[in-house]
Order: sequence, then C-alpha cells, then structure tokens
Amino acid sequence: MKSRIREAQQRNEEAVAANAERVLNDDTFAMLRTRRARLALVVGTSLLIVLMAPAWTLGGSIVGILTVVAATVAWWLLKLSVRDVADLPDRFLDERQLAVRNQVYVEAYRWFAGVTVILASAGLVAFIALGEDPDTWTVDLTWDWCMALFWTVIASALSLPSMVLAIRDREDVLTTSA
Amino acid sequence: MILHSCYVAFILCPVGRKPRAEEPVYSRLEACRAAHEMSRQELADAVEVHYQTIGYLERGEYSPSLALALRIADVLDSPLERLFSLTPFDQESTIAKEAS
Repeated sequence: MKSRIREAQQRNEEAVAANAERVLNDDTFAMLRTRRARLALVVGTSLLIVLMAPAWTLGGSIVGILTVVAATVAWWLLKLSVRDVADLPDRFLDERQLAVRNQVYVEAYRWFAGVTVILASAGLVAFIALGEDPDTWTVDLTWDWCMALFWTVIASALSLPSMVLAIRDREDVLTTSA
Repeated sequence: MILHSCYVAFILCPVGRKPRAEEPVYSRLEACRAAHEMSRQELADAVEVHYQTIGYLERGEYSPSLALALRIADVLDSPLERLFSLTPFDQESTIAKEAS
C-alpha cells in the first residue's frame, strides 16, 4: 500500500515537473502573452466572475454550469498567458519569479479582502435597511444562490493572483538569444 | 457602525498601493554576455534562472541577489563591479573596454 502511494506521488511529481518545464519554456501560446491579450483575458475572466451569480440565480443550473465551464477555460488561458508563475511550486521558479509572485499574492489578497469587505458591508447595510425587524428577518438560501456564492468565491480566489500578474507583468519577452 | 466603517477604511487603504520603488542597479550584462558570445538562454542555463530573468537584468528592471550576481560574474569570468553598479556606467568606456 505504501509503495503504491509512493509510486503515485512520484508520478504526480514527474507530471508537475513536466508541466512546469513546458509552461515556463514553451512559446506555443505566445499569442496569449502580449499586453493586449493579457488584458483581454483579465477583462473576460472578471466579467465571467461577475456574471456567475446572475447566471445561477436568473438563468438556472444549465446556464450556471456553462458559466463555470467558461470561467474555467478563461482561468486556464490566463494561467498560460502568465506562464503559471502564480501557481507553480517554488522549486520551479527562479528568484525574480518568486519575488514577483510574492508581490502579486500580497496585492491579490488586498483586492480580495477589499472586495469581500465592501460586499459584506453592503449586505449588512441592506439587511438592516430592508428588514422591518432585523431580529426576526431571515434569508432564504436556495440551491442556486448557494452555487452562485460558492462559484463566485472560488473563481475569484483562484483567478485573482494570475489576473494581478497579467496586469503587472510586462509583455512576455519571446526571444531567447537576443 | 462607526467602528465598522473604520475597519473597512483600514482594510481598503493598501488596495492599489504601488510597491516601494527599489534602488536602481545599473548593468553591463548585455555587453559582457555579447563579448562571451553567449545567448540569454545559455547564460540563464549556466546560472540556473529563467531566460526572461536575464532580459530583466540586462534592462535594469530587476536587481539580482548577491548569490545570483556572483554566479553571473563567475560564468562571465568578470569582476562583479564590472557587471553591476549603483551608478550609471559610462557608455563609451563600456564599449571601449568590451572592444579591447
């Protein structure tokens, strides 16, 4: 049993290393790494995150699932555009990439905290303002609302570091020998 | 409510704040690398960094750690102060030195 777990861990390590090697050095997706493409991906991903709640609550489960799939594709393209620097394990990054990633995570955390505090505050104010008797007012959380909240938070948390990196990082330098 | 507003303002203060500007480190790396007829990729492989990092160093957009600077100096067989400086290099003397 232990040897099987060890083998599985080794296979996983090899797959992660192969992916890191490919994404850091491969120029197949160079068209995603221009300034314009990166900004377009940030705008697209942001729109999909914003649309996540209305998609689930107004459009129903099918539209919600399609929006989640679209957001996943956008996130994957975004990761490719910044060479997955925000998510790769430390051992695959050099000192500059690690420094950039650390700054990006600080900034992404601030944005996430800022947006969360604003939305939570707005919700609290609405709860107080709209409820005739706040002590007895209840919120009905339907399955669609639950999914809307879940996927909005998940998509924001996973995408923000790569989005901040895509905005901050200059255009990818393609030439290796210049 | 007032306390809550203060907390919100405290949390939001750093949002969008620009990072502190670092002291610039001037580099003569590109000229030295060219003199050794090395590509960015070759130098990057030799000092174990990504080739883009060499580009950032050559453009003066990233200040290397002491360990990386020493590794680069070792590979290019050049004194550290000839590669990096806190003051701008004299362009003409750079070219003259590289030519000689």
